[in-house]
Amino acid sequence: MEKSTNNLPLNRRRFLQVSGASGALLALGFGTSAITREAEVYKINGEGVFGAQLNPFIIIDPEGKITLMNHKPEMGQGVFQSMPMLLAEELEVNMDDVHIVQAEGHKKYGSQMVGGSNSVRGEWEPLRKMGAAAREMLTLAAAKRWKVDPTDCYAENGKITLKKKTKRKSLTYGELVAEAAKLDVPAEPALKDPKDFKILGQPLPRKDAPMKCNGEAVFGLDMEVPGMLYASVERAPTLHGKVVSYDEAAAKAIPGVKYVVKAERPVFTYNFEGVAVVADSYYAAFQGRKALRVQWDLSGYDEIDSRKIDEGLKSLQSEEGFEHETKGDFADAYEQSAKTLEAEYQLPYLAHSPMEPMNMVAQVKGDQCEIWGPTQSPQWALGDLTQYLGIPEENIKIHVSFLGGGFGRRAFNDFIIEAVSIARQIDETVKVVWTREDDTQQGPFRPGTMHQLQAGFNEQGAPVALKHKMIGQALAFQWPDADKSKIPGGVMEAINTHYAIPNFTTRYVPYETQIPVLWWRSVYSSTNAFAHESFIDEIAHEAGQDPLQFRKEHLKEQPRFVKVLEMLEEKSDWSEALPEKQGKGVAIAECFGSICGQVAFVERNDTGQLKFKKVIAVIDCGMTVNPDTIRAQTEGNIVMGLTAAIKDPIIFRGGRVMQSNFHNYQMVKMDETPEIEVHIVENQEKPGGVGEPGLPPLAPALANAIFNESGNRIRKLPFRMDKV
Amino acid sequence: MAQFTLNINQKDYSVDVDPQTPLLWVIRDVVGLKGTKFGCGMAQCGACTIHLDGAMTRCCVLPVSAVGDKQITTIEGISQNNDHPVQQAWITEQVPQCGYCQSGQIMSAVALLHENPEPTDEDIDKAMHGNICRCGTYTRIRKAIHSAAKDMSYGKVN
Repeated sequence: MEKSTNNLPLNRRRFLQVSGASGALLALGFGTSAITREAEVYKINGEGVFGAQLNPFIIIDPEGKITLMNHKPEMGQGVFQSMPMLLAEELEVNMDDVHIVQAEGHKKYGSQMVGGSNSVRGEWEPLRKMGAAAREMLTLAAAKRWKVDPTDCYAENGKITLKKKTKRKSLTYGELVAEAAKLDVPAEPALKDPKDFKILGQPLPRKDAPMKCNGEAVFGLDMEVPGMLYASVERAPTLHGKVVSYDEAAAKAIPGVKYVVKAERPVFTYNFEGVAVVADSYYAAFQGRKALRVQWDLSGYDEIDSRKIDEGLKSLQSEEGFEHETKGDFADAYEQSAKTLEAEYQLPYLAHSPMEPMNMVAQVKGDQCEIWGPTQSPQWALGDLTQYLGIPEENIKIHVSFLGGGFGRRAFNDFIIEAVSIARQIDETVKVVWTREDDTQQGPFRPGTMHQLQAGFNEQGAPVALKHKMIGQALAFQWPDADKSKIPGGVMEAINTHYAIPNFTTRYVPYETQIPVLWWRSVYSSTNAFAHESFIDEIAHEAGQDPLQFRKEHLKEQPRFVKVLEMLEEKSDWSEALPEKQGKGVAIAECFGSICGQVAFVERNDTGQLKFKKVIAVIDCGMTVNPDTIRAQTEGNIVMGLTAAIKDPIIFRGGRVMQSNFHNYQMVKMDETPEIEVHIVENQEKPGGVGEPGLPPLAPALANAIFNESGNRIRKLPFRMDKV
Repeated sequence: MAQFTLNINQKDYSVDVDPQTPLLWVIRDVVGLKGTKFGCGMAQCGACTIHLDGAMTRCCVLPVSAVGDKQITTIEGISQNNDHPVQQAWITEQVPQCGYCQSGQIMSAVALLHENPEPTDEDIDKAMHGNICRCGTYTRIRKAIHSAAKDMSYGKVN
């Protein structure tokens, strides 16, 4: 945050402020004594905000204008609204009256990482405490002014009011902020009882919606820095290719081309090479890139081939790998089973494909670095840049734009380092723009997985043994210092070990390739839930039970799962038989602290074509911030899960990615989107994730519906709706 | 390089660019109207949708030299105060998530309603088929188009 006191409007009084804290506690600005200073114009992420700052998240103008910082990158998940709602609830201000500013990347905000559906669950208390601390400071300032006890005052609607009926009076936050800013920040402010919430739990309209309807919202590609040049980077046609030679003169012959430099893009232990053409327009840079005719050394990467990956995954089926969870004795129970069932499931590698191609504006001047653009993880970028450039954190400025989608891709900072690697060689500000082809082909990718499932049944036909072995790449094994002696965290997400089957074991077998892999919306839940929930359906079918009743019965010790299933049963009229040529399927999965269940309906028309008609989703994500955002995220997860289930996979051949753009790496569009109904379980459980939990159940619910209609069990994704 | 006069949102702009430059980059980086987006560069996603003489056009594949004297309308030109019925419906239905594709979605929807004031679901599916939304806002887009259609026909009757 830059401060420039000389921009102060003359007609405004000067006020005092508490500075943002430093040090580790900081994040929250608690336990720090006030440092009084005059009110200022804060230049935050390019926007000027005048006022006194009560803590890093709240600035109040003497005329009462309230600015709340959204410190989390907004990529569609709704933090631009949900984070300020947490502050506003405790601050006792109306959301209509607050101005929201996107914060830059800075350690004073605590973690700004957006991933793992963690924003609301991570900030539920800390941000409310920030709001409450400011409210208490304002209340105390009023009490001092009136010479009363603070308990005689209450905060409401941007004002502190004296309770006494005889001399009822109030002061606005603007009138109090100067005095409040001199006070110590309370270390343990009192939080409101959820029953008194006025804002949290309300489906308030998003404040970023209007600016996303008239072109005003500024995404990374829209960032403008004076004097900025544009770069397009020629990248290897195979993953890992090395630059041998290129025609710099030909590129520089294109009018507007100014520089041709090698670029580097560190991805885990690899350093991907590229050749950047920098020009005064994107088109010139792109034309220059085409003129480069880079000669690549592509040797040694033939192993990156989907057929070989399939063989590699299969060859590991005889391995036992790491134990995840075990109960009873699977081997013995399986051995003694009256009947057994075995199935193999497989899911593909995928690209993230956010609608905004990867990009970043970078500038390196001496030992100063500044970047502008869409990142999911400003602080990781700060750390990576500190290391890469060998300069202190204070010398790095990170301006966060809106993100045109993230889905995990923008949490990884290879694209930032690449932009900086170019900027520092040319000593100019440069916007690096990836093409859609770069985005689709360069990774990192969602890892493809294979799943081996086995079940054993007793004489009565009840399941008594279950084994789920997952084989695939471990994200965590890619870092240079990875500990490969233990099961990596997260790989077994959404494999539901709550099912009451007396003997079960879940295991993970790591597979390694040279393909860089990354978090992809809902991460391993996006693959595991398909295998597990489809196989649970197979077990229910084999046991002769209704798949929804089977789940209820075998999850009866888990009341939250049962509640979701009961709501699904009711909302979908599950018990009613469907007419011919229709099918329904159910799936349920836990992901990032929430449980989502879905019932999918399919229908076959007279020409034999199957249509995904409708999906009903029920989500239990605990206490809610904005129910409309929860619905929107679940709708979006359903569409993204559907694309992953029925559209193109990423296929590797001889080190190359065969897909390149949306013509051969297709997305579900409006005509293939089913009717979607989302219901939210109301409870007082602690908040769970929202941005991802709606995705995992979609593919198994749909596949189970197709089985119900046709008897055709789908065990490999993607599949084509016109072929089932 | 060559000089062109472009009429964008009823205002003339004189630009000096390579004639082969896709109109998208001229609109964005030369004229400075950033609402029109780059998504694919091959007319496969609809993020760059504008109107040329009122007709829906993907400007990422249209060389600036091919525009001639046609009138260009971008997202910035469909209303003064975000008050086009389609924009209003988008806000009411809370369509945008990341928002990146929405300029293109809105431009396609405006063109659709201009040609077909009372579209059915099938008409909407067909007209919007060129617009990808990775966030998956399709059901809300469809609802918003129906509601904008109602608002617009109401305006005409009255």
